[in-house]
Amino acid sequence: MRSRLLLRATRVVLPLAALFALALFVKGHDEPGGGFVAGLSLAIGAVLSLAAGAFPGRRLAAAQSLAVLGLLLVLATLLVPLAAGRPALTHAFGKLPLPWGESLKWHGALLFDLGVLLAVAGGITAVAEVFVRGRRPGEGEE
Amino acid sequence: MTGMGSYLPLFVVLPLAAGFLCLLLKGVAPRAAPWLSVVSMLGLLALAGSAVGGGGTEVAFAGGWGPRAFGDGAFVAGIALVLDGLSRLFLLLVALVGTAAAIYALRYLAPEPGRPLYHLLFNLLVAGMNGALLAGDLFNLYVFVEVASLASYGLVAYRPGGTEVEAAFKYLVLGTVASTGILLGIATLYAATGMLNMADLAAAIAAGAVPRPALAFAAGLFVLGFATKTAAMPFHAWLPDAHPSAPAPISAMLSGLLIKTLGIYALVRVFFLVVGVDERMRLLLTLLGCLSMWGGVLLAQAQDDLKRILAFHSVSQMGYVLVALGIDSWLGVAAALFHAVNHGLFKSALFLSAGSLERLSGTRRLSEMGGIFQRAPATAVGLVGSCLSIAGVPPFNGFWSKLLILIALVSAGQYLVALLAAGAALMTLVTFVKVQRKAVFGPLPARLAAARELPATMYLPVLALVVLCLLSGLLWPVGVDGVVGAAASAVRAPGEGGSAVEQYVEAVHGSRTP
Repeated sequence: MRSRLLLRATRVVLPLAALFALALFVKGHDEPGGGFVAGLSLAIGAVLSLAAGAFPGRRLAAAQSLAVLGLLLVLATLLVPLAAGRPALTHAFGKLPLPWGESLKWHGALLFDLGVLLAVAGGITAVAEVFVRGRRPGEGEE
Repeated sequence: MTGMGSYLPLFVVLPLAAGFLCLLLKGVAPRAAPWLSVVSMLGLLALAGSAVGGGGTEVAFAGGWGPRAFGDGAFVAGIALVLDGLSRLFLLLVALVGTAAAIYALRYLAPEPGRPLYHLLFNLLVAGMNGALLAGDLFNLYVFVEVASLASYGLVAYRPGGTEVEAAFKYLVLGTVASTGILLGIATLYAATGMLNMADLAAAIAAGAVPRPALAFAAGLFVLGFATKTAAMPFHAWLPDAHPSAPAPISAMLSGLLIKTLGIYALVRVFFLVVGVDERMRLLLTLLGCLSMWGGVLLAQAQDDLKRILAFHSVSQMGYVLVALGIDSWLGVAAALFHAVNHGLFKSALFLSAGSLERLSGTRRLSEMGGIFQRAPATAVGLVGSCLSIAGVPPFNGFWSKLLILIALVSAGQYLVALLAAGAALMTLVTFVKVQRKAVFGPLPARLAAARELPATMYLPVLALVVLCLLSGLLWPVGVDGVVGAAASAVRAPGEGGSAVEQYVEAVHGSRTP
């Protein structure tokens, strides 16, 4: 049973969830937020869209690959300082001057957080997809 | 600051990266996954080999967050990875058995679907075990124990049949109770001291900073948790179902490695280094050990399923390790660790052989096997060699480590326990004489007349492990004693009531930036 109303609503909810996730992600360094909750917020939008029947066709591999990319990004933040001769997970930080005179604080841990965001959002979406579509990963994909 | 141990994170990162890549390449190159596992294990073997070559204690602090001055002392607030003699010994064991299991899986799993997921979980299992072996603080020890445990729950249920799912669920429930116990124990110590780093906790507990009731409460929870992960006798109920249900290379990983890294290693690390071993703890270890030794061996007599026999013998063999730990002498700890490593080598060879026999004869029932030696001599030699090793027949390592345990027991005056251990060793001999006679010798059943030798990637890893079993016994005086001795010295100094706490604390705090 598909609800067209719900399907319509998700077209608004998903971008809003993504925007909210972005805000949580960026503010996460100094305020409550961060990669994990941002990933959850994004996943809620994606799962709602899935439940409403959006994205027909195969999407499972994409969500899973996003999660894996996130995890590899996390590993990269661990390895890059090591390759540069510093202890693993050492982070770099600084200020990026903006053209209108202000500056933006950037932080190496932001990459780590981005990895967490992708892993959480992708992982939860992949799991939810199994329940929504009633299919195990690896079955009937190809 | 780049300490000596700056490469330590690689032990965890390498298998994790291999595992994640298996999943990423699932659609593009599904055949790459088994090879990624082999490559990651060979890399770990090289790392572990070079680590064993080094000496002393190497430390890596995540992000360089080393010891900080606080009040009138210094303590470690960051995450430390510590490589000492004890970690070296077990890292080498994980790499050796893991490599054998990864090569064995190349052909063993070839016909089955869902392989990328298998290899993801396999690599997670290895990463969890390596992490637990290197963790320098209790909380990360718990986290890595959980990573390895969760991967193993999934791997036990890899073949989704009724018995496999039931075994995995039982294992999941008991394993979670154990992990919760460990976590509560850690929370108790944290509440009492505000510290998690093992070096700092060990120093604080040795100085009497934790009230005795709190320490006893935490110790009880740790015994519950780690004895369940070891599958010591009253806590063993999950093992005889879980280990046989997994695919053969995973049975080898679980029985050969997991119960040692999450059970024995963690028990030794937490009790001998951090919490301390008192009279009651020694009695408890001895009791658990005697019960496991005899309970496991007796229950194994009643089985006809080859993998269940092996699983019950894992319980029994862990009993030897526990009684040797219960002596609380340097020789006892060294003998226990030597036996744990030897068991890792021969039990994984046995489980891989059991997988080969199942593949050859289409059954796990001993009463329906026989005569395989005529059709598949290499597989048969692998099984016979590992049977001789677990039975404790002289040139093999099983003999030497059991002898060491008996010597340690007798020299500590525990004659009754020594007698029980010798009796259980005899019973083991009886079982495995029966196993090899029924499985590979005797008349060939008519339905196996067409059986052919398995591919080389399935018998060579087993033969390599059997050769290692021989070597680790024969080379004891020239090299093996050094590695095992360093492992024992890392947690227990020789002599009456000797302690290695000071040396460990110094090593962790020594790499502090001025």
